[in-house]
Amino acid sequence: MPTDWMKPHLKYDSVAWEDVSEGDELPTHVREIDTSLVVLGAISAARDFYPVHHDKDAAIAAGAPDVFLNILTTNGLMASFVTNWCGPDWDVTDISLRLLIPAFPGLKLTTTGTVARKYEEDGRQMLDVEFGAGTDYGPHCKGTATLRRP
Amino acid sequence: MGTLYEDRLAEHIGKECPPIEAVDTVCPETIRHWIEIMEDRNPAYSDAEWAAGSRFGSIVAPGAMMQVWSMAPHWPQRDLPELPIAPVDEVLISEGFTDVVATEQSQQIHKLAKIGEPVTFTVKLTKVSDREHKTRLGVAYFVTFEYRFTDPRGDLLGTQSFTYMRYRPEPESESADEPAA
Repeated sequence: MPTDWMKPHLKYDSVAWEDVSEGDELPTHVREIDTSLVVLGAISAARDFYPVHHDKDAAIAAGAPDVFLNILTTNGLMASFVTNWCGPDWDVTDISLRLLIPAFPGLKLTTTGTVARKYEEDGRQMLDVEFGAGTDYGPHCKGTATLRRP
Repeated sequence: MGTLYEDRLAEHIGKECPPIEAVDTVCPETIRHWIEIMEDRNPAYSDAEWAAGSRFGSIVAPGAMMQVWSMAPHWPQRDLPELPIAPVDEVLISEGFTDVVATEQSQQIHKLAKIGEPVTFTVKLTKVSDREHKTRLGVAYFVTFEYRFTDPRGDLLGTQSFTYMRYRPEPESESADEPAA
């Protein structure tokens, strides 16, 4: 598979240990949620065919105003939010999140994160990042990712 | 006679299905279909040259997408061992808890899956709430199960716990003791 066309969009550098402090904020990321993101997130990225993520009638029948992001897409967006900041020299060893209010097309999803803890474990450099994302409807998810320098 | 939990749900907790081999081998195309949505910039997932010289040795799949390898094909239906969540779903549906929504997910990533290698997984039922919870969407039970993913050498790629809520749909109520997703 050719990958040259992707290279200008990839991030090769990583956040250095000495440049990180507890309390540092990750760059806030804003993503427009449209029907394509919801449907492709479920079907193309995650292969989740559950109708509420691609069929508006099914979503309405389930009590929602429109199709909404599936949890795998939310989790993927959060994981990429973190790794697009820290870079490829860090391993994500744990990512956990709780879903709150669903995210619908037409809303902006704003993701923020903070370095909650910087520590060493078994001689390896570790960071805990707390993240959260929300829309005009309120908080969509919140969670924690643990990063380890291999 | 005990509660619904005691009589018909608790007995399923701890059950695990036999290992299932995922339909698709880990491949750069499926990975690309993930990262184009996530807008992920990690070269480990999409730059073969960089990945070959990295600690991974080849392109690897994002840990966050581990569950994707376990997703069932659209057609034809696969004849798989019954997952341990099926009998719990059956009981809850028969009691009117017909609708479902995901609420929590947690992944522990041990090793990233390499392209060209199949993923094998098991599913274990780890928890069912022992009573009804009142939520914004309706009265609900929470069900938690855990995936375990391994590579062809039997090495653990990761585990993922997943909680969903099964509820009896009703108009939004004012007093909820659990936030509903």
